[in-house]
Amino acid sequence: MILDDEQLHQAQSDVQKMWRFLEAARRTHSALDYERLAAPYLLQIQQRQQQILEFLSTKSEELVIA
Amino acid sequence: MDIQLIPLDEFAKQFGASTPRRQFLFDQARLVISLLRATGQVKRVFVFGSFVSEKPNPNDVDFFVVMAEGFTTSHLKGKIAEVFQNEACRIRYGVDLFWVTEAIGESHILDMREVFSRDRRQQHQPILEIKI
Repeated sequence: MILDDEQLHQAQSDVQKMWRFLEAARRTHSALDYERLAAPYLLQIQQRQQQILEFLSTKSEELVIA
Repeated sequence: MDIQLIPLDEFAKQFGASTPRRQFLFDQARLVISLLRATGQVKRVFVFGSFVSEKPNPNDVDFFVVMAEGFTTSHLKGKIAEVFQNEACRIRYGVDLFWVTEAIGESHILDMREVFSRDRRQQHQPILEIKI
């Protein structure tokens, strides 16, 4: 769970790194190998993007009250 | 980012002995390492996540594996092939295995090491390299 802006920026940076990693893997590996290796990274991206969306869908005042 | 390089027997002592769950997961992880070695092309194995934390009963073992440039899974069969298919490896061995080859370039490998040094809550988590 992301609790503040610093963690938000870190999560966004990690997602970008994983995107770039997969773009590079797609260029440097065969189709079969890419398909096999990409799945867990895609899941990580999905999970972290979900956390980003959850944080951005809530106002910070609400988090403080909660 | 400095990462501790740890021999397999030391890794076993530190993380694979204190509870039955850890003993079980370490045995599974050792099997995966032996299958990776059997390819003759494994270069680096990083371990991160709850197994290298103080948690007594981790869910699984997280590996980030770097294979030699030119390595391909296309000719692999059976148990060795399963290791490179994340879902099969996780179900069979309890090891969540992320892999890539050196062809991707060192900068991307360093980026992923950095990403894996934080958990899903963005908190710092240990990452070690097992001496292969």
